[in-house]
Amino acid sequence: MNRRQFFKLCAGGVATSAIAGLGLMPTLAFAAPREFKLIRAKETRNNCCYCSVGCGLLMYSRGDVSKNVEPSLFHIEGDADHPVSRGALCPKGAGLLDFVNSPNRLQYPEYRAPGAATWQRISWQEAFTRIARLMKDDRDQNMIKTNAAGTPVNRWMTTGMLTASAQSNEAGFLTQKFARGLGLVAVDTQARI
Amino acid sequence: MTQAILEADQIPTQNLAIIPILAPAPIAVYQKRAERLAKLAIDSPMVDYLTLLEQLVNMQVSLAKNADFGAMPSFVSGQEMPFSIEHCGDNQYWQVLLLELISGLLPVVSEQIAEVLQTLGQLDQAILADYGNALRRGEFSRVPAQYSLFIWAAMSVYWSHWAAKPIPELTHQVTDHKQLCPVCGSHPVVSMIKDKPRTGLRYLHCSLCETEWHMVRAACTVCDKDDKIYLWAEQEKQASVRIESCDHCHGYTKMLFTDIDPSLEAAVDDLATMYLIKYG
Repeated sequence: MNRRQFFKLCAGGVATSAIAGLGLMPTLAFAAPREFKLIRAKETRNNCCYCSVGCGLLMYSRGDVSKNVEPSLFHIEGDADHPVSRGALCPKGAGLLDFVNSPNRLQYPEYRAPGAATWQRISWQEAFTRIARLMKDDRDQNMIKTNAAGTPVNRWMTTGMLTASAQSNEAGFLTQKFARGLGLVAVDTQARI
Repeated sequence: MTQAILEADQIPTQNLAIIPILAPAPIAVYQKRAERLAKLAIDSPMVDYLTLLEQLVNMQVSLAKNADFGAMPSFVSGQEMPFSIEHCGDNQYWQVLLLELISGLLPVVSEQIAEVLQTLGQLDQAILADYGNALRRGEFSRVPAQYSLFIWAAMSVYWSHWAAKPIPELTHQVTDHKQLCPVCGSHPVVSMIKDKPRTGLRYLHCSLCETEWHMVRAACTVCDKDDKIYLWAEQEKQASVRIESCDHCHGYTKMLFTDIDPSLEAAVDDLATMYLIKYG
């Protein structure tokens, strides 16, 4: 006997028959107080990605897995079973739901020209090309190749990089290689924002 | 979940380790159960049944306080599920409790139920022992339906009295099986999301000995998988009673969020929300 059968038995069989056996079966005992459809929420365990602590989260979302339905997140709470955060969340973590569902959330690259008052949407290709162009120009102009003593160095001081804060070791390694390979000195994570 | 806000000096003094098994405090459990039954009986279409249950649970309170439980049932220290039917088939003392239960109930119940109780009280010891064993094995249909409630109630008083004894000796290895009660091997009634000892932890509540044991949330209580877990609720987003289902094994367990509604009681609120199963 598995659990489902057990509960079916308990609920539909034993309890009801026990009540009936005692002559106490009311007509309405097992009728729902009102007709309703149960709301189904997917329960998922995840980590907060906003700093290197990586607090545990329980996330609840609506919507099935069908392709034309966008799942929507409606509740986030601290995961009490998590060995590090033990259910606690900082103010930023406690406000995660509002980040995710924010109407102001950036969903595509945007560009504001110097002096312009408005942002305009651009394609990812345009964004990558523009960033690469500006980085290259800035690096070509400002790269420091030797220090005052004439020792060769690899310093690009005029651009900084903000990286993700909850990465795997491997992603961290690649990030470091990329940043230091370019000569970037100012590297930080977005945990400080 | 309510997020506790702590003062800086309170944070290091908290004991945050997860306690894997919570021993039952039978008197407190039954008292709370009786109070909850009394509250729910008002305006319930099941008022007759709930009132009977309240009388029954009040008898359990007085038995838990005063009854003679005899010698402690023997168990092998550290054994997995030491009081399960496989290891511990004691059938003496709960029968004494059953007779006390019956004699306590007879003056307060209706004639029809008194008749059932009298017949039950006159059954042969061997038959009662057989009924008790059948219920503990989950063979419910082998026991006449009108008797099972009272037999189970008496067994529950007995096993909840002794359940605390073997718990300190249960090691991590033998409590790894989360599906069944680590003490008596019975099925859980519901998941309780607790406010104490630590907010937000899930404990499964034993249907027989009232022991509670910890199980990680967002994982199936039947097959332990964690990637297709769904919670079903009525209109409210954060309902205090929800059903957790698993799309792998199609098993489910009710979850009572006592951090949202502290008055919830495992057995009573399982009964009171029985209609939810129709939609499961």
